[in-house]
Amino acid sequence: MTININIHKGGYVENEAIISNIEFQVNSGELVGLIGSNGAGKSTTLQAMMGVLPIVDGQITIGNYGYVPERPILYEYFTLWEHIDFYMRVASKENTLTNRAKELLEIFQLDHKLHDYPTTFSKGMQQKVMLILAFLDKHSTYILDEPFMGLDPQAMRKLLTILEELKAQGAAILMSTHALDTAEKICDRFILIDHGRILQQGTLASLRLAVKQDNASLLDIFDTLLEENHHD
Amino acid sequence: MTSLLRQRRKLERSYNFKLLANIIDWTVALYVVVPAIIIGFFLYKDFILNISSSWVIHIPLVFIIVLLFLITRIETIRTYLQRADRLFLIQNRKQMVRLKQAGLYLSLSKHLILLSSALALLAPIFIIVHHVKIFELLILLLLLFTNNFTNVLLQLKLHKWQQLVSNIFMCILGTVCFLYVPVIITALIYLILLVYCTSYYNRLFVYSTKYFDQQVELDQAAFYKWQSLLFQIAPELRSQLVPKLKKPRLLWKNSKRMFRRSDYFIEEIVCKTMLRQKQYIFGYLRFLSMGIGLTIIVPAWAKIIILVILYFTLRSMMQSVIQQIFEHKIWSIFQVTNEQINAANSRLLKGFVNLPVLCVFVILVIFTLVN
Repeated sequence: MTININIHKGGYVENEAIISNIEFQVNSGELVGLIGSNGAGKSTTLQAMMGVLPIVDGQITIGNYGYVPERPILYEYFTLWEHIDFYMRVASKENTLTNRAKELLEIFQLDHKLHDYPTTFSKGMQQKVMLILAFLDKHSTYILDEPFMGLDPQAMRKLLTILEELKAQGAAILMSTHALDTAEKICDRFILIDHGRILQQGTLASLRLAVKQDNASLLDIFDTLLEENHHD
Repeated sequence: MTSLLRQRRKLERSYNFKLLANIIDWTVALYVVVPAIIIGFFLYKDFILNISSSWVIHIPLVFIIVLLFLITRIETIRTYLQRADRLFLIQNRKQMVRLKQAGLYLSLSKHLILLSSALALLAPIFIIVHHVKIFELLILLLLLFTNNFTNVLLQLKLHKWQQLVSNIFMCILGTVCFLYVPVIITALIYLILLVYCTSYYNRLFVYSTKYFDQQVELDQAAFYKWQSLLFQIAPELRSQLVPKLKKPRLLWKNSKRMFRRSDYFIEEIVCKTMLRQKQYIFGYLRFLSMGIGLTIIVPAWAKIIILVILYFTLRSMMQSVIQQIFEHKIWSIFQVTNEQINAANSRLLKGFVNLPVLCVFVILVIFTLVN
């Protein structure tokens, strides 16, 4: 299953497009990084993909997906286990997912917090809850909005391992991030976005070629493209 | 009214309205307020028509007067001052004086309207039962108004125990003046007191900035008093803060399921929210107990009306709770179908609304048959 996105225009209010001409594809077994400055339109693009952006003009093909939101979304009156249990009940997969839930709880070291309210957790712990919920079930696609936000180094390493595993299993993963060093290492392709438009997309090598800098880092490439775009 | 006062009142009103709209669904308000007014009107009319044979004729006039002096009060004289005025407005003395004066007259006018309405409602007791003349009632209005104004000024200057003593003294003075002193003399005494209080307030609190901080605090307290009441109904609205709950406090600790059936997950989220957010469950129980209480008290013909009102009120309340839960962003992670939502909605309404109302109806029928 691949993700196919072709958004002509998208926004919160009619005739006020936040994003426009966003066209890309994420193939099975591929991890694509969505890169951009604050307010560039990354989260808006992801929201448009999931159908939660009110105004979207375009075509979006996406299978069943696991989603990590930009900010942790938690229910105030549910404990951690109740969140997980609720997810399993909604998916009608209680019997098959319980072991996976326990495994993820152990991986992210939240197994001792099962009966606490996640709204009282620290930012990093709340992010871990979001990751657990996203990776609980096996999906064909994953949409991860700033998944590294607030995570400690161990949790980051575990997340990277999980992403590698999912890729190997053939999942299509789209991830927006500001952690460019990490993205450079794990992403197969990049979509660089600014002011709601795609600046450039491709592999690191093709992006280097586009800016004519052989050993440029992702940050250098992004800076160069931004400068070129502003001059235009 | 100064433009600044108008602007601040407009902001307050819009804030309060938004807050109220967040808490009370307008349909619930409609189901409660309109029937309450209609029933209240008929009960009041009934009471007035049969006043000479009702229990109020046994209450002595002096008791009513003392009670009125004790329970009526001006909470605060609003100044509409804000902390930032120390920076911006304190240099513009004229505007500040105008703002405080407008606040004073607005607070007094509001209180006068409230007092007049209360006395108008009680007028039949005074006129029919105790043969008080309308002119004397107007004097009582003057006495109560001046007494309350004096008390609120004393509050600003005296300690707690001194306030208590002065309140009792003012209550006795007012009662004695109304019952035993000639009307003209009483009116004169209280008019002089009213003029003195106004000039005293103006001198000390309007033209002077000595009590600026105290006035700001009192004004903020008066503003937040109304909101505190709303927050008691829905405390999660206080700055939209997430309640800091450590562990599930009510039933179903350790995340145990309430419903064994797997497809009852929406019921689970609604029921646990109801139990853990005490305002929801208390609000529900309050409506239910009020409805049951009213059906017992009211005459036979009104019982069915109350039952119907109870049904629609509970239904609106539950629908509002369910809607609030479904407006939560969590549903962007948990994807449920409309069929699942509708089925759960219907089951929840049956459990929380139809069943209790049916129980009340059955109890009423049995009660009526037995009697």
